[in-house]
Amino acid sequence: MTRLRMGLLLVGALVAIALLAPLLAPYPPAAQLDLEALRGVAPSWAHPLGTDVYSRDLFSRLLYGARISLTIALLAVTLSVGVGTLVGLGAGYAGGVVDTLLMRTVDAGLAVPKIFVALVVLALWENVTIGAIVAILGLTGWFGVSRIVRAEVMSAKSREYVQAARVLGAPPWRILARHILPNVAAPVIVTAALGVGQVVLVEAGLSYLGIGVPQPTPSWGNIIADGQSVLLAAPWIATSAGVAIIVTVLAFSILGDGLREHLDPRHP
Amino acid sequence: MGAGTLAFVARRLGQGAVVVFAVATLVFVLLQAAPGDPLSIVEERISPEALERLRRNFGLDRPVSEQYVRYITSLARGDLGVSLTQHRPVLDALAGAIPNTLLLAAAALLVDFALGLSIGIFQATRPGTRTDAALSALSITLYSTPVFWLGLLLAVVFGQGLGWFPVGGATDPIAYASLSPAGRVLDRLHHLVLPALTLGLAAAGYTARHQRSALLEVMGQDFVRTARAKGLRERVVLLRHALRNALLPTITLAGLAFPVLLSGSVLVESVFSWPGMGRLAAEAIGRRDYPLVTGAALLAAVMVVLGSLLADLAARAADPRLRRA
Amino acid sequence: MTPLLEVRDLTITFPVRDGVALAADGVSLAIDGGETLALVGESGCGKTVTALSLLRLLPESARVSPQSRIVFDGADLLTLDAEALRRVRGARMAMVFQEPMTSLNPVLSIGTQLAETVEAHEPVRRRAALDRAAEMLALVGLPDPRRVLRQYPHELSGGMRQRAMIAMALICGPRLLIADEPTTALDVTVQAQILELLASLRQRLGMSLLLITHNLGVAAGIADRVAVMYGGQIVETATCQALFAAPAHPYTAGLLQAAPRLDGPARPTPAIPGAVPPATAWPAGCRFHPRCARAWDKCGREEPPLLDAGPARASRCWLVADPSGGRA
Repeated sequence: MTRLRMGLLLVGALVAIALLAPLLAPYPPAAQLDLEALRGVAPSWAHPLGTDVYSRDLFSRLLYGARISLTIALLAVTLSVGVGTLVGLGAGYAGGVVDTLLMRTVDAGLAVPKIFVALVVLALWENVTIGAIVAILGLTGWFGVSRIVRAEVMSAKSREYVQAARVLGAPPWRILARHILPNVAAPVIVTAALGVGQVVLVEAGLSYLGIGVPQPTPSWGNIIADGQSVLLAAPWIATSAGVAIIVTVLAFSILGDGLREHLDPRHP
Repeated sequence: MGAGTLAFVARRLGQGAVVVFAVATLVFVLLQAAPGDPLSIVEERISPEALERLRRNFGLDRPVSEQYVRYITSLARGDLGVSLTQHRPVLDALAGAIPNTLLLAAAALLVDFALGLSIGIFQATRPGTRTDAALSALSITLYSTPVFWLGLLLAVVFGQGLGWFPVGGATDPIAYASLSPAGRVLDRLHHLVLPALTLGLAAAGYTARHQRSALLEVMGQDFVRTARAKGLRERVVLLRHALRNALLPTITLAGLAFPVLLSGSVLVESVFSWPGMGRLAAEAIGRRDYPLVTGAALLAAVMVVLGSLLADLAARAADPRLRRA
Repeated sequence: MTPLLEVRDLTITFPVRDGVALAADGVSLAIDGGETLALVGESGCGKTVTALSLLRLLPESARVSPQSRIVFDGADLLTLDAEALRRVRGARMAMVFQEPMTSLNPVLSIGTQLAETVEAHEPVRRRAALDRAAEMLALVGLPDPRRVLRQYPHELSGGMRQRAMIAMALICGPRLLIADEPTTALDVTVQAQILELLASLRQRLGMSLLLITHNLGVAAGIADRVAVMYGGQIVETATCQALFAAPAHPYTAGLLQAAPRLDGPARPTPAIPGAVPPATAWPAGCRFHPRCARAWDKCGREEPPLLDAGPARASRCWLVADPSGGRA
């Protein structure tokens, strides 16, 4: 089975799980079921992955966590790709001062570790909504894409058919759309697929620290945080969420690799 | 270290200053854009007069452009503001933590390279075998693992479980003071192992993968064939010819790894209660001590800039072709 | 006198995407001590594969058939163990490659790359090895050898790099030097200098030279004997003079005709019609027959062996046996 197929299968399964979470989950994720009897119970038939310290069904929380984490990651990457492509196109096409300015911004953006950006934003804004998290993750992830797009624009600019198009009076957006975007699509798609995995990891980290997805909404990261204090007594809590993250990031990595092999045979 | 290198360093430091300046500007914009009066975020109650004095001190009653200039100039002086919770300059508050973070990052980088390089090289000398495939699977799994979860795992297994290593802090809280200098160093190292291993392992997966493909590519190049044609021993061919060239892209990779390493260190420091900059910043969030957090972010940016400069210098030292510029 | 190098029945195959490529088929040749043999042919004829196989530098996937023999100075190189082969490489048989930029290690100085060759074969100290290196660099005509020792490949011009490569190959005094298209990647003016250098070195050092080239002019300049390859096979061997005076194989004749000449009125240079077929599917019978103006039905049915075409001449063509060529 090729990497591409395996990646598509795994990612497809994950997306399906995320979409079907409300149907698949036996309990609502925030429901505290029996505060006495069901605290930190080990896996059983009623609760396939046990319960956590707040008597919530872990399996349901994991499913919903998939929904949340994947949604955030996919939205954030879409935002990154969108912004990055626009900036890259603009910088590459305009050249000169605009280009230098934008690329210095990219350098600055790459210099600050992502989590610190999130920390700064969260220190200043008190409310943490899912939307804010998507915005933070999306707006800190576009730098790589912009460089790729810009490089492609620069090399396309010097190619004869593009120069011919300009001389013939083709408007810039048409040149960009017909000549440049198709070439850019492949590496950007690969970067995007790999980026989803990266965002899942960062979001999990933020949620673990308590500054990501707010409780009681489940995110794999905050499930791990929940499970930390009872790690020896109830290891399934943190372990299952961790494994879920690993599988998800792996899936997108495999997909990214598979796409790279398939779309860009020059770089195996 | 010729004149060319000095010019390079000067140029890069200049560029780095511009980058830090841009980051500072971004931070300032965020500060201005944030809702509410910055001072109202302070949890402690203070008298209206003291509040007014603070307001004037921070220059919050002046126009934005003037505030910006004040902000930049004080940054240039090394004044990162005053911590709202510790009531002392941010730089002081962070000063003790910075070396710890640097130590952790450096140790993690060491683990990253030692493991990543050996695995990658090992794989490249036997491509296509089952060992190769197994190690590739291991690498990709490692860098798909959330670093804080890996830390918890290592802490539970090797710390609490087997008891080989401590799982909290940088030194033993009780015994450290009474240890000899050598004992102190050992104690520190003992505490460093698990956090550094955690941070380094995840990165090692990526390095291994990268190194494997770099080495495989180099081994297929003409000059490696020439080396064999000259009758050099296979080990010399591998080390002096293939590897020396295959390490070049990895050194460049190291330069790009600093932001990720520092991000990871925030999480690892939290897991292991490591007294570093990241943990202080994360804790400060809960108390809305934004000067501390922004100060830490700016310092992180400075560290990244310096780190990538070091990596580029190493690349120049290793590759004579780069010294042309 | 036994030849210094004798290749017998060398057959090499490669697995490729759509089958198996027969890169060399029963190649046999011999080089005497002090002789220059030029191996000539278009790209894809198997000459480079043959050259690489002598020092066993072929890629992993190549398969050398068991009946092949490469006898150098009395020993079959194909059966040597790794250490014995290592001692031959560079010290008794050396090779110079086509692309001096990519064939030299970009991060090591010229001095290091020359010195390490000496150190690999002789018990010398680094300083002595570097002295030898400087001598060799002077011998190949590089000015200011001490300076070149400290320089890196990217700091030298193409011609200087190739001279350095030659110095590197000859530093241990090998009996046979294989030069694979040594001038192809160089400027025309430099080409002549390098060829002259090779010729003079061969004479001074008393070694043999196997020159691989696609350019007949290059061969004409310095070769004693020429072997022409096509389709993985040797199709003609002769002394240089005899070959150029009167080729005994239609392919050689075609190559000579296709070479532009300045000693007459300008005329269109006739190219050999058709193209070289893929190595996975050589034609039946004589491999050249689909492109040959003088082919007849026998050529398509039976593959000709190398036939004796005179003193020290051979040609793989039915015309040698039957000069009227089926036209009778």
